[in-house]
Amino acid sequence: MMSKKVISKGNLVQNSNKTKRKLKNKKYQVIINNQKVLITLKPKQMLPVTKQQPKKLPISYHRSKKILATILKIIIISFAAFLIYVPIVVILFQSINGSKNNDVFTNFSLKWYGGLFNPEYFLNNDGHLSSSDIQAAKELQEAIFQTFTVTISSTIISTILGILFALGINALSRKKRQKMILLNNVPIVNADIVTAVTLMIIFQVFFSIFHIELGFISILISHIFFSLPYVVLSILPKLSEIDHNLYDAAVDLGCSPFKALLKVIIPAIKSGIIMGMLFAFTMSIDDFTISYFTGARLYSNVSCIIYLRKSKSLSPSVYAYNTILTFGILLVLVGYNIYVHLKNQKKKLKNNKE
Amino acid sequence: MNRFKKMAIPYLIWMIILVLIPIVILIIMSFQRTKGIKIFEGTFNNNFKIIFSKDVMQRLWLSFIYSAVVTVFCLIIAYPVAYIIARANFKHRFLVLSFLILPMWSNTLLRTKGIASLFMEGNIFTSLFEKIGITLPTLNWYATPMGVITGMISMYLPFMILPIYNSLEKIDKSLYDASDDLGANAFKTFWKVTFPISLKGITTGIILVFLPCATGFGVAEQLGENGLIGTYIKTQFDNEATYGVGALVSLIILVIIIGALFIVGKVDKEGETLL
Repeated sequence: MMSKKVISKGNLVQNSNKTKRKLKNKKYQVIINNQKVLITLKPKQMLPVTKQQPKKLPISYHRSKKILATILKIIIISFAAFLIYVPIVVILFQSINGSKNNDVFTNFSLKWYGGLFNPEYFLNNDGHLSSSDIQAAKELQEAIFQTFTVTISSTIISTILGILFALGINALSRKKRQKMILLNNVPIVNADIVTAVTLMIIFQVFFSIFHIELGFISILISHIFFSLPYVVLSILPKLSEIDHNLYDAAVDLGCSPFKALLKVIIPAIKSGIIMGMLFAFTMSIDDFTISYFTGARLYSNVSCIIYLRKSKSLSPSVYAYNTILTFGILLVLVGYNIYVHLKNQKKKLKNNKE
Repeated sequence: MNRFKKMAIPYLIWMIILVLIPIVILIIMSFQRTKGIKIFEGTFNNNFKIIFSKDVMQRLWLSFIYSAVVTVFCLIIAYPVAYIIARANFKHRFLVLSFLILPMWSNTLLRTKGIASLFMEGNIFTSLFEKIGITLPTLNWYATPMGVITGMISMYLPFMILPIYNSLEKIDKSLYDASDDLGANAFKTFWKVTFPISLKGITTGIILVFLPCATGFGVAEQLGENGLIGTYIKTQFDNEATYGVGALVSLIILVIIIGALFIVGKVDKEGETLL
């Protein structure tokens, strides 16, 4: 009486792959006594379909593994920090050293810091120092002043020029733009010494026509020269993100092109500009090779003084200068971080209130 | 914004005057041996004989070896550091990073001088510790390869950390999850996902470390090493009579760098690698 007839296999297993098919239950539609019945057959070996759960390990194991990883991370980072900060610490101790000989620590003294600002007052009341030391300190003062003059003016000029040039490059057709970027990269990738030599040559050729000696102007131009590519490169990606219609809309609505640039484009590329400025400043303040070649004889910055003066005629105030510079920038960085943090918190509070 | 097109022209002129024309002069000069720069009246002189002398070749080789070793060590140290900071679940990651790259703003030469003084007998640390009654062993690394390499690593490490961190930071976090979901283990995820994306950062880091190491002279001279190619070029330009030789050596370096730039340009056309 019981007639069994398999009419169709269920289509459940079609989408899974072969290995998984074995594990799934097979479903058949079977007609028993003229009634359709769904029968599920279990495979002989039933394996769990889900991923095998890993053996549960005691929590302390996981924790100790995590702690070990953290310790390893801290060791790696502190090793790098140690390598980077050893010279900074040496300079710090040399700057608070009372002796003129910076390899022997005699007593704690802040006179080199005073010597930065007023060499006559701070360095004269010490019997050990001769007039040549005061002379060296004065020379250093001048070098610091010159460094900052060149750095600040080259940063400002190269930022302004960099914005304009980046706008120009951005507006070019694709192929031309790529070529310009390649040209723009030359001073970045080029070795400092080759850049320095080429600049010195061109300045010597041009300046000899006008009978000018290499000095402030040549150094300023070369600093602008090697900072500009960084400014351009940091602004370009931001420019390509802007909607071009925004500028046209501003002009259509009656803005002058200059005002449209100032009110529409500059705010949109602000982060790129700041980044470029930071690069320009960093490159310029620490430059040695290019300044050395393009006019160190008349206009020395701090690096050139350090290189040209042998240890004995170099005022230890330079260590004080460097320490102030390092910690000043550290303060700025920490301050900036706190500022951003506070700003974010304020935003959060505002959002919560709303 | 197409009206800004014209602003690229002054930049082109600026670049031609300060990059291309000097290179042409450099090429002319490299065939001369005259006092100073005399483009039109110089006499032909074969400077190649000097260039292929044992001295110059040795300097080139030494510069290459030093900077290759320094670059490799910087990479080995910087990559894990950048990786740890970039992937940390830590809110003030940027602060840690800026702490590590902070010395970039202090004077490189002075820092080199500081670390070089540690390699000499009787430095500020030994005298400091003597006050407490501890005698520190002296390293005596001044002007030895060990000292030069250590000093250079200390100087250039931040330049390797920063670009690698930047490239790792940009990686979309969901890529890690995707790789994990698709069954890759931690190492495979690193090798197939993280590492290829960070290659750009590595390239930039190598450029930023290798080039100044190989061609600079300030840092190496402070560490007591006068045998590098940078020092050679500098001494050639100190004396007006040997401008031609200096020009030729600079030209050789320039050719090597243009080759490198060409390769970088092929890989990355928008020039994003460099920042």
